[in-house]
Amino acid sequence: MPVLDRFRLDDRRAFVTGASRGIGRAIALALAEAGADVAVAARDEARLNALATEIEILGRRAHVVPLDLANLESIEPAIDAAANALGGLDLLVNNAGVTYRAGFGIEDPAEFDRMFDVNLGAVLFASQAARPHLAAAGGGVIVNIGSIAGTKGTGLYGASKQGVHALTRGFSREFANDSIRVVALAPGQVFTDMGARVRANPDEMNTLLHHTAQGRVADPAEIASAVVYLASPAAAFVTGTTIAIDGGRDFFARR
Amino acid sequence: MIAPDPFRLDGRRALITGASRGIGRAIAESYAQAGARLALAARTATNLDNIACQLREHGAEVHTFGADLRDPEAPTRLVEQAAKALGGLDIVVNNAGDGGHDGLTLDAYRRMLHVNLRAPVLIIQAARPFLLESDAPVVINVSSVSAKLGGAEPYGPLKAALSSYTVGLAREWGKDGIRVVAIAPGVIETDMTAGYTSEPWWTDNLPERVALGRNGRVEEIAGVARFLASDAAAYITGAVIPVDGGWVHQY
Repeated sequence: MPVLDRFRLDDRRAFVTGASRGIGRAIALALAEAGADVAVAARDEARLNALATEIEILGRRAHVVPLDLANLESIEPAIDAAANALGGLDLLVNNAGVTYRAGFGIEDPAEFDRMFDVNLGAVLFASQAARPHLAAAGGGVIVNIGSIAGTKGTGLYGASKQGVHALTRGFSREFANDSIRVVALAPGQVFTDMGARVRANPDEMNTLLHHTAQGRVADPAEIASAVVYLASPAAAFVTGTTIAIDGGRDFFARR
Repeated sequence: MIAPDPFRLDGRRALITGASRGIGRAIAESYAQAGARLALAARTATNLDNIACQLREHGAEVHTFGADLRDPEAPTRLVEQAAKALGGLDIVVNNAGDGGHDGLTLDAYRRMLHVNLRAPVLIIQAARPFLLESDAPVVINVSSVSAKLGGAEPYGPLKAALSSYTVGLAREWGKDGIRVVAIAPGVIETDMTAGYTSEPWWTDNLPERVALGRNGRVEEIAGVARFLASDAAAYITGAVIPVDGGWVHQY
């Protein structure tokens, strides 16, 4: 098979969480462009409907899943319904994530719970719920969106993302028998709504760019293209690992 | 003239959670031996009677507290009680943990999120004003080799979260002189691991998994915890110290 064909995702059926905006939206569109049908899950149904139209314009099927990932009980039924609508499932992208206002502390235990539920709990339970569908398809891929914040250690948000990197390793062992690969990406700063607070703070932004070899933030498409690779047969021997896509985040990056 | 022994903890005020058995109990013993004054916590205070009696017989000052760390109010209350009893705090050891080998269920996830992560964070947060008053403040979190191994259950991922948090907090609090470190034990023979540490599927594979080819003993964690709490470790912060017999396998 020509090498570029191994990057195709023709007729794969994908489920993408947090798809209404930012990285998730870019991932959903990239997967469709690569040939996949996509179930798009998020809270904002209006945005999902608009995205579904864009996916259909690319010639693929879209399935809209209004879903609050903090509601952990609702994840399994949503994945089952999407698999039913698409006729199966080959790919799960656990992208949904929320920032955390309180940094290293806990001001409101419910806020802490919600952040961990979306960033870590939802990944655990969505992976568990997707497993039988991916196995029934003869194997599949789970791509988790972690964060360089987890690798570096940056408060409770980073902690939740380091949890994602660890569960990626664990699930890769557990799911290998079903020919399911489990991989993670650790993006650096990406130009999204979620990163707007950081971009609005010149001091924080300068420090960040100072510690990034490329001295810029990423476009969501630069994360999405890595997801296409990891989801595709081109990455058939990649599992359990976390790949940093961070423009060269390094304490000594720029002096 | 010989300088004071930097490994001693004389007069240091230490709070240790999960102190009724296993690693927590061993840490309590080693701190008492080093001269520390202790506030010990466990879910049920009476479970601490035995260790408290034993340590008091050897002249240690020991206060005991019952704290159910699943309760969001309990960690802060515990810190305040402990600091009041000891007149401050120098050492906080977040040792209590839920091993939860009951698979991936919503209940297990929530319990472990609360006991293994939320409670340590709340304890650290409540302890900060006391640590700022201390001459040698240190926070020691007990993580796990599971943080690196990961897992399809919440335990490993939540330990990874605790390790990441430890590193970040060390950076955040370094300017205040508060050290924040973690210990990542391997498989230590305790009640928590009793279900498998003597099973053939585990012991038969020990030599290829662990360089030293054996399970660890609680004293082997306690010794490191004592070192990390002492002035001998005054330049160590943001470190997650593996104490695991060497998970250095080739494969």
